[in-house]
Amino acid sequence: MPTQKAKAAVPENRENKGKGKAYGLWRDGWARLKENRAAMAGLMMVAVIALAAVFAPYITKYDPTEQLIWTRGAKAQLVPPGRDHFFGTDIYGRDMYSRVVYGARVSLQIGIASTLISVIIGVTLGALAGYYGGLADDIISWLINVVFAFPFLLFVLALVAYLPPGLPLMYAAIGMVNWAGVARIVRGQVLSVREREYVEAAMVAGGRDARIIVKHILPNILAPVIVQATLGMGSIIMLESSLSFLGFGIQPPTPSWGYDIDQGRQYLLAGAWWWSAFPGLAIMALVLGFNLLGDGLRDALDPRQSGGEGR
Amino acid sequence: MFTYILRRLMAALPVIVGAIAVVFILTSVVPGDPAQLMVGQRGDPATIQKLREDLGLNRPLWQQFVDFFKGVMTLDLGRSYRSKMPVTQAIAERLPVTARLALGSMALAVVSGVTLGMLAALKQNSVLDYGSMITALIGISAPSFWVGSMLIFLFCVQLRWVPGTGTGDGSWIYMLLPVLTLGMRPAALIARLTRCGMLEVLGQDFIRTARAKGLAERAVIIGHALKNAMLPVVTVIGTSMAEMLGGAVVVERLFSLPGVGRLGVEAILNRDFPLIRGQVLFLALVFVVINLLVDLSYPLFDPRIRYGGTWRRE
Repeated sequence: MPTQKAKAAVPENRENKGKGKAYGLWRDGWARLKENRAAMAGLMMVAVIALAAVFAPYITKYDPTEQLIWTRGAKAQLVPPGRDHFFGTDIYGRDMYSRVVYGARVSLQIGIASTLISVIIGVTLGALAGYYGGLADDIISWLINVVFAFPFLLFVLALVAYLPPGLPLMYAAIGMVNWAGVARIVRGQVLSVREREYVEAAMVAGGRDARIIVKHILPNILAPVIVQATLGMGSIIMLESSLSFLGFGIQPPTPSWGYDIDQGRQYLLAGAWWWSAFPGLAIMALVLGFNLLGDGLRDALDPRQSGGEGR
Repeated sequence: MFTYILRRLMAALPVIVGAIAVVFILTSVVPGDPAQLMVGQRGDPATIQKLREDLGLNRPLWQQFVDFFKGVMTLDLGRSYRSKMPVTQAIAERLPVTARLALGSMALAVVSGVTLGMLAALKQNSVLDYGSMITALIGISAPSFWVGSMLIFLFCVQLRWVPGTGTGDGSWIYMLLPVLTLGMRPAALIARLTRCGMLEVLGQDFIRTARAKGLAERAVIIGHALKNAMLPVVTVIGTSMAEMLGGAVVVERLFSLPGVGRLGVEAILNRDFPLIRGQVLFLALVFVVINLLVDLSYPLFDPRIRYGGTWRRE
């Protein structure tokens, strides 16, 4: 029966999870990750796009905001993909390949910054709730449930609408909504780790709470946080592109994938499919990369959790 | 069973109160003066003062909150600043389009997701399995508005099978592409979860028992395996519903559908604060109710809950 195979793989992973040796989890995790072809493909996709973003000026011929219609006239408009413009040009004669490459900067920047903010808030609140329990837990759990009650995009949209435009405020707005997923996982993990003997020993030995949390508990719950953060990168990048698509994202002319899809779709009737198509493919590749990597990390670092859904 | 329902209802109450409070805080304590924002930089002080009075902004904060809370309880969310229409009425007018879109997409997602996931699990490691799971991964990773744009290009511009965007004469054909666009992501999520759940269930003892006692394979798959694999799927239907209410914002814009989502975007563009506030609150409440319904449906799938046992949701 083919289904037996999948079942057998789980206990095997569990045995491999080194408990005694220092850094055993990370070394084993990396070994498992390396064997996971899908995860490695995901890592490659993320790495290639990240490198492209960093070295954007060296791998592009045109400035992403340079409007070639001023120098070359109307024949630079909506040029189909070809040798000079790999991804074609838009109505202003801007090179779409340059815009897609530079667009990665905005997406990754927002993804990383917002993820950092949500991890900081989420780990702090989740650890407090899990460690102290009682009223602190009640209040924080309630807050988590309340945040989860709002549709992600709409909540951020409303936040962005009330805040003056600007990148840092956008990180903050996304982070303020996205922390709840991290907090929920950290809380659950801390609850279970807190009962372990070594934590009890640290308590009996008279360690301060803050020290116990930082030194003894947090290192042991790092793996699920990393998994959640990686999967969260995908949804944040998707969210940023949705905001840009709706016109609430980065202000033009800064290249942003979501904004270009929105602009380009208005020229679909004219047959200019490339304007929308390539930024969309870029979003898909980056989000897919993070999803594959996140799934792989979950299987490699945290076999018990595999099969769940990240937000 | 009864205590389970009661407990779920009681658990939803603080979340609802919290959602009301968050919406209030979000729209009241933010830096900047809403009246100023609504009028714009060049508004004269008298107009702004008048507007502050109209909106009740010159009253103490706690009193504003009490009024707001009372308003929510009596379904009075104030009036749109722009159209002067009561917010509840403005939402109610736009609701049918969004409801049709969301329900249609969900129906599509459940039928296609469960079927694909089930087939993939039964034929594990086959071409069908890999094919549908790769499709599902792409479905989760592709932005819906981009897929929608490409669908428009393919079916409206190139093939001319579908007339175009908007609601047209209200016929179903205009809803086809929006439903496809919005349903893609939940379909992919459901397919993955169904496959995962089925694989887990199929290896368990009661499946062997069911087969051993001579049940037809189809009865084993549908009656025993699928039913037990459905719990996580039901949960994800709830969360997807919420995501779709958000996603409707994007899809409605893409296909020029006059739904609640577009109302929200218009409200934000117009800085129509009472309308934004009502809109966000409305969607949060809808989500809480959907999640409550999902929770209440668990006993249908898990008899342990029906007979008063405890069962963890996470």
